[in-house]
Amino acid sequence: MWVRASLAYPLSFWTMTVGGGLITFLDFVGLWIMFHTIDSLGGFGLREIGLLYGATGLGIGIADLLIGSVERIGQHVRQGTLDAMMTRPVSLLVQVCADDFQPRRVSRILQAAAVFAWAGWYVEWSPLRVLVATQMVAAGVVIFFCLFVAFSCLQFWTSDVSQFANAFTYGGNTITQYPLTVFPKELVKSLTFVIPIAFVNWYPCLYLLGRDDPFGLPGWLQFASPLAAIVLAGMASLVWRAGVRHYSSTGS
Amino acid sequence: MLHVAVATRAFRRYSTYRAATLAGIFTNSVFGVIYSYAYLALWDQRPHAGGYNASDAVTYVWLGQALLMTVALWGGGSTDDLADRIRSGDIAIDLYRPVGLLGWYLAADLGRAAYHLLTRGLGPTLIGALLFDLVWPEGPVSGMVLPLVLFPRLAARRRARPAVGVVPADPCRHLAGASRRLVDPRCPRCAGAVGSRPADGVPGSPAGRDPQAGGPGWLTWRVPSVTTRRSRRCGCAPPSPIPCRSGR
Repeated sequence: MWVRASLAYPLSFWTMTVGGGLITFLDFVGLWIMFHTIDSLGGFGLREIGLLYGATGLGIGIADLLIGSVERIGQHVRQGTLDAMMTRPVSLLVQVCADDFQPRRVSRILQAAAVFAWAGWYVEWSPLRVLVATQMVAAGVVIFFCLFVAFSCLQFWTSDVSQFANAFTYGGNTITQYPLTVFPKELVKSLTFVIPIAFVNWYPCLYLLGRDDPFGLPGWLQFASPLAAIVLAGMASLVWRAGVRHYSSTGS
Repeated sequence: MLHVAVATRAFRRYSTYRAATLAGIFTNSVFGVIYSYAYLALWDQRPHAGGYNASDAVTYVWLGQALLMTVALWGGGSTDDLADRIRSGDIAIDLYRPVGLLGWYLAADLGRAAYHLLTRGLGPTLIGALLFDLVWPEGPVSGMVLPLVLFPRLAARRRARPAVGVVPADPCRHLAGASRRLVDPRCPRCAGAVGSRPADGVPGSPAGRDPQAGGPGWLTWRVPSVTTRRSRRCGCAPPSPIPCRSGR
């Protein structure tokens, strides 16, 4: 339904699809411009950063396509449309995701995939590295998916703080576009152990590039992305349940 | 007088959402921190990239975060209200009023911008000043230049988006016309966002942020923003907020 609805205005659809891809691509153009004056940023070259950029872009792109609409849950709460959804015999989360499903978000995924492929051309692939890359993308999707859900749940309590979630979802995407070596060690540790955004691309990419951890953290972290994703998924589902339980209709 | 009343109502309308304001300040600050560290890494390697030093660069980041909502380059504010009202047909009510449409919406947007400047502008700037070494205006004169630059920026915002469509018509009318034809106002809004990111000095993407740091030559000539061109025409302002802040 929503796919057909968005294709109803083809000019709008294509402008927004191409525009969305261009906007995210400009982030990479910015990095490329930076590399006109420098050879490496935080000890990483442009292609290595391209790998990081592509991986995190794939993660947030797919997560955003699947569940980006959850950001609007505050609107559903305000307008009372959430009540209607609760009476239907389908999972609430699925309904919220399916509402206002936006196929134009595909362009972002394609753009990230293109950068990832370009950067991945220079990785020396082995079967294990392919496996790590696959689980990196899967874990990245799950991690961003969970961040979208968990922080959107805050809107069950105060319905106008949707911006707060952006700091973690889009902020998490932005921070992982750079090699984490440019940030202080404390920040990187909290991105590993408090909010596991670093597992989206940083640790698996270190393995793909055959590098040691610049912060001296243990090497097994490079394989721990699925674990981080599972832990975060558990926490996000708890938050979601707490949020839905806390929800009381506006009534009439 | 009427326009002042419209502006104050708009100011109050936005000030109702306190949690949203705080959340916004938080988000702007997070992005400010991320971009600052990325910049510091660049300036660590090239301490005088583009003729600026590291604190100039960080100041640029935080000024950008502070102005992002005030200028509302990415959408929001009264242009979006207008587009939505055209879509729903409420615009008919606006046209019935014995007041100019543009003046009305400009007043509303200035009220909104004033609120955002005081909260989402001041908040991240203070946080940035606490966390990083920022450059402050050297004297009252160079300090005054910033507000001078800001005002034409706000006015030019109207021009900025349609200018992407390269139709130098009356901007609001064009936007209105465009959305009437397309029905979905998100479309021109999105096109505007694409154009504004690299074309304006407000740092949303690195592309907007660092061409002055010595990018390839072909990029540098098209970087001066719509506003900059405008303010140059008036002969009153230097090309970007940094020079006026640091007194260059």
